[in-house]
Amino acid sequence: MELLDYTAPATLDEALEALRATPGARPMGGGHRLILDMKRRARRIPLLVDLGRLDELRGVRRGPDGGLEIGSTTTIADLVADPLVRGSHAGGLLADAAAAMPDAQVRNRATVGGAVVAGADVAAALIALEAGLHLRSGGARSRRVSVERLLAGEGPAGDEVIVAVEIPATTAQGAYERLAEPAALSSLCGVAVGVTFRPGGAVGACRVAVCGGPGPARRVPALEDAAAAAPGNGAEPRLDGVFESDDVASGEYRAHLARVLTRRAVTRARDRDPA
Amino acid sequence: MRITLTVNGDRVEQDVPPNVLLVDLLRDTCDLTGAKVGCDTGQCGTCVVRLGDRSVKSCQMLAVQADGAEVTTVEGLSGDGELTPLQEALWEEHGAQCGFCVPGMVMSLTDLLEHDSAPDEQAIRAGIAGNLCRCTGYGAVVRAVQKAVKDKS
Amino acid sequence: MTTETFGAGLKDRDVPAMLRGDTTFTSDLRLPGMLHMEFVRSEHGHARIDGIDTAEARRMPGVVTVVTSEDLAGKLMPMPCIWIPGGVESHFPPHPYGVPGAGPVLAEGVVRFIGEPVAAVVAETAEQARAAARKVAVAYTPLAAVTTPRQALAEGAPQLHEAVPGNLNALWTCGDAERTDAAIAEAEVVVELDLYNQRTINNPMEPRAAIGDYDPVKDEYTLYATTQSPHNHRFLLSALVLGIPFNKLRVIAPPIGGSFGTKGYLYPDMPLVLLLARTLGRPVRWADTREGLMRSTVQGRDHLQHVTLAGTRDGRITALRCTSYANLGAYPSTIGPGVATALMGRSVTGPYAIPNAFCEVHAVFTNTVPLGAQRGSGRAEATTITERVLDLYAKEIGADPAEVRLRNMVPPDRFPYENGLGWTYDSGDYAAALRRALELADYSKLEVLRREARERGKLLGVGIGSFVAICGVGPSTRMQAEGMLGGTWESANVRVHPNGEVAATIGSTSTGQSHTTTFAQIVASELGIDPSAVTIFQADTQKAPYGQGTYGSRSYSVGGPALALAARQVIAKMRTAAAHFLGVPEDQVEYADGTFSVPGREGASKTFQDMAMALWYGWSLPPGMEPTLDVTTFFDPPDFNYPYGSHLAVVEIDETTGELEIVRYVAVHDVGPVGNPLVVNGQFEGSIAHGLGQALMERARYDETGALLTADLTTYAMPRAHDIPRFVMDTTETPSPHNPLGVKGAGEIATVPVTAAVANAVCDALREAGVRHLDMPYTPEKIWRAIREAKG
Repeated sequence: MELLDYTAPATLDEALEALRATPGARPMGGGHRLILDMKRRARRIPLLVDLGRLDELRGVRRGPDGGLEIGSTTTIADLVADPLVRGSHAGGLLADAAAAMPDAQVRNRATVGGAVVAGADVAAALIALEAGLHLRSGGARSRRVSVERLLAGEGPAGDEVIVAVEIPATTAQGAYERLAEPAALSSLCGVAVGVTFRPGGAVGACRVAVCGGPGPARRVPALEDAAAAAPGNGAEPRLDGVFESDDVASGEYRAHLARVLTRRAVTRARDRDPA
Repeated sequence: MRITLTVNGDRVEQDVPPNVLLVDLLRDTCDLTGAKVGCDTGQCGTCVVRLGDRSVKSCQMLAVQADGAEVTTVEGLSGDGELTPLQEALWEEHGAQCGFCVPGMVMSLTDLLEHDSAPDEQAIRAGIAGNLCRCTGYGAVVRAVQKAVKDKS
Repeated sequence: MTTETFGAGLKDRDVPAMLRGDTTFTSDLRLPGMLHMEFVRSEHGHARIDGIDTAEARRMPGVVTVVTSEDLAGKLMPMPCIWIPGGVESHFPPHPYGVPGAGPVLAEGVVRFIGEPVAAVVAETAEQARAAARKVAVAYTPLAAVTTPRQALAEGAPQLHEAVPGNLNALWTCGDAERTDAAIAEAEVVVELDLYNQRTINNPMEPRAAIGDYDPVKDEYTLYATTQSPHNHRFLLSALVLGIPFNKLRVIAPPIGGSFGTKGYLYPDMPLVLLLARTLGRPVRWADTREGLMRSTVQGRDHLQHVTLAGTRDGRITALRCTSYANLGAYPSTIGPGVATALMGRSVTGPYAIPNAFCEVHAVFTNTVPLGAQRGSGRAEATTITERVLDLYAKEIGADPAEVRLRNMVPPDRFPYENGLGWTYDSGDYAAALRRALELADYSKLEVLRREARERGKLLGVGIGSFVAICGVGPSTRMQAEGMLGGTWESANVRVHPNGEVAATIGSTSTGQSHTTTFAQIVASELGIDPSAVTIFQADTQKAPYGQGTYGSRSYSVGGPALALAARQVIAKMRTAAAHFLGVPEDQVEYADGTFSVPGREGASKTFQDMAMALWYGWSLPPGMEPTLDVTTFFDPPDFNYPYGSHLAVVEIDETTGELEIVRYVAVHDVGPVGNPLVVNGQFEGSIAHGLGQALMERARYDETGALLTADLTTYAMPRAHDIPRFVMDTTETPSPHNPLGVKGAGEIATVPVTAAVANAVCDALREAGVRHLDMPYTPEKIWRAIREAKG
């Protein structure tokens, strides 16, 4: 494991400066993925910038529009235990997705920002919740991008740091369903839904995001259309090319699971609907 | 890099290269070999220790990340060779056979019981999702936790 | 024997130290001045080594030396194989002493599997050794590889070993082929099945480790290693690998973190750390990583089988014929070829009286990690194929699978029963154990559950696994015929100290089976004293008498009797002396509760402690009696023992996704008298979980070049707490006539029927969907695909 240097700045500005000054430097949240990468590939990293000591990036607060602002170094364990999160509509879906992480030790160290970049269960949940990200880079530059767009290829750049995850206020009900592979306990296929139910329980607006397989979490409109269609009314959603095959599962099986898990997740979300 | 941390109540000040894992610091420098290296990839849980009031996998953490932290290993759980009620229950129920996974298992369960004083069977099993045991089949471990919970209430 | 101690669920006395993190495993040991060794392992399944450049590695910080096979010439011989297929022609890599060879310590010119050690680097720290090992440049020319026996046996297939034509180690057979074929030809019903019992990786939680130490003043070597056979390894290493006097090698096995059949083998690290400790003048430590373990520690199972079962329309089995292709891997492991042939082949009749049976095993070398034992090895593979084909037979004739089993099981009045393949079953009531399992599972009501499940959109399946497992290896002369190149007796020493404390030393070594507790119970019970007065010593060739080690569920049923017999001799000697002191004939002295007394003579008594002291002083002993109480015994059993039982699994399958849940699991075992139910139940539970791992998720996968695709725990799945259901367990008790305690093996037997029970349950559930048979492991996608394909 070749790691040449490490720094744990006390302020965000120092962290951004450290990332800017050293080409190839990497920001680190909990560090699980980076450390595993370094062990496996014997990858040489010139500088790790540990964001773990930036108090300004930790914690959950109410956003100006009534939504949630989650500091990017908030651990997943703290996130799902936070009273603001638990009391919000996003709480159920986030708790589902957090529970899908392999174990308590991962939840205790993994950060929200790291989970976004990892692009798995929590990222899928955040996409379903229409979450956005606030990113900063050196020279006080700042931008906002949705989790969906970020994972679709819009960063983060090497010197950029995710500062916060912003979940808009919503009354949609969410739920997460998945099937895990038994070795690393990662999701073969995971489906996050955010649904607004009409009076009587029919699906109104609906966002569906999936994870599993080689690619990162992504939104799948075909599953949204299927979820919104009246029961028994509408063909099976076409998911050609949405899922790839790997050693763990075929893309075909993942696509099949996505259809089934979407139905399960909508049912669970409906059960959560106070109406 | 110079780091200072507390390990089982003792202050440890040490120069470590940035790529040293917490588990190696504990085992090689602090001579605390309770935490084991069982897999390198974060699946087995034999390296679990406590960082502050949360359990972590010490083979998935750099030693420098623990700078300033309070680390508790299995050796520091109870004083003078006494067993905690959880450990007593694990002994009673034969929740340990070869003993290699046991330190990590104990640390994960200690964390679980501190955050959930009365876990049901499903929660107990989920609480050790990060700990592999090849000997017990987990049944005795689950019974031990249930016994510890019952004895406490 | 006092029943209060033998049979009591005493807590394991070693567990408190484990719970405190104070148990010192081999990799936790630190010797002064210790150096660290790391292997450079092959990156190919099969390749020629064109050159090894160690120059850059030697220049790395902290590096002390780098060695390749050239450096070992004349210093280390190849490792030996000591359990070969018995009674048939067999072929092995060479060994200079003419014994079957098991390959060089470091690869010589060719690598034959993905983890084969090519070079070793020694440095001041483990990290430095690892870093330098990456700088050893090995030039390879890849060679065509074979990873399955069928490929390896094909015409024109790449050859692994010059001395092994066609890659065939042996074609081993048992039973009567002619009679069996005739019975099949005449049968009313014939059922056939192909089954692949997949390769698994045992993965004890503790990877292997070895530390070599050398004392130049005494010219003595000490090996600390994760070995479950220290005495045996002392002999093999000193005589056949290092070529040093037996007296100059001491082997110590520190506490072992699980084995399940993997740590009874010689591995290259053992002789190498010893040699390097001598040449470098400092202790040398090697500790494996998980990936290293998965690429080099022996793997399990891997039989491709075809079975034919013949029977009558009314459910009487008349013949069974099995052909198996066993994948031995690139080299014979120390006992691998014997495990893959005799333990599997002779066991295929299971607990049934089958008048005509035959089995052949093609034991074949391929470019994969060497095959060894895995918990229940051989017997589990036999049980799975037999129990699966028996279910197909029951379905074919429209009979209840439980009824067919009960009808064909060896009845209690036919023991000792020769199974026609070489095993002579000792004792039992096989049907009683199955009936108990059916009762506990509420078998008669399961059809109701099946209908209820169907209403919930689930497919429910019921599967039985009935078994008998040869254990207690074994009678030495019998094992000679089975191809074992060594004795298989066990030994014990019981020594009574002057104050009445007892030191008992055993030749076998615990790998997590609570030996220090359960063996103390045997001694205490035989001596009529409290178990706390007994200390058990094991796992050090300098402290213990000879011994063979821990494998084949033999410690308790071969080592236990040795200990009991030693204790009985102690009591006999004490009784003789007590009679002498009390002035009565020996037959008037009774011994109970730690006191020798003469019935009817008030006050005429001597305690255990009195006699311990008297024999220590040696004053006025009976004429000819030697002082002290120190007895060593060797127990060579007259035959094996045969624990048995029945498991029953009920599974529910989600037809939509292929998800599988075990909703009920019942296990009934008969291991004879149970010395410590807490410990024995722990063995059962762990064994069942191990079997469930294979049934549900475990599979070692290689690509066509011999690369291992599952070389870490992110890709090789093992069961976690949430994968394992609760088990409903019970025991019946039929003593074995083959040892003075009546006990039978218990450490691995509960693994034996698990894959059978689960496979039968899954296939039962899938029958409704039109699936006849599906191989393990039962992953959701595989089940989903099978259902889809069956439905077209």
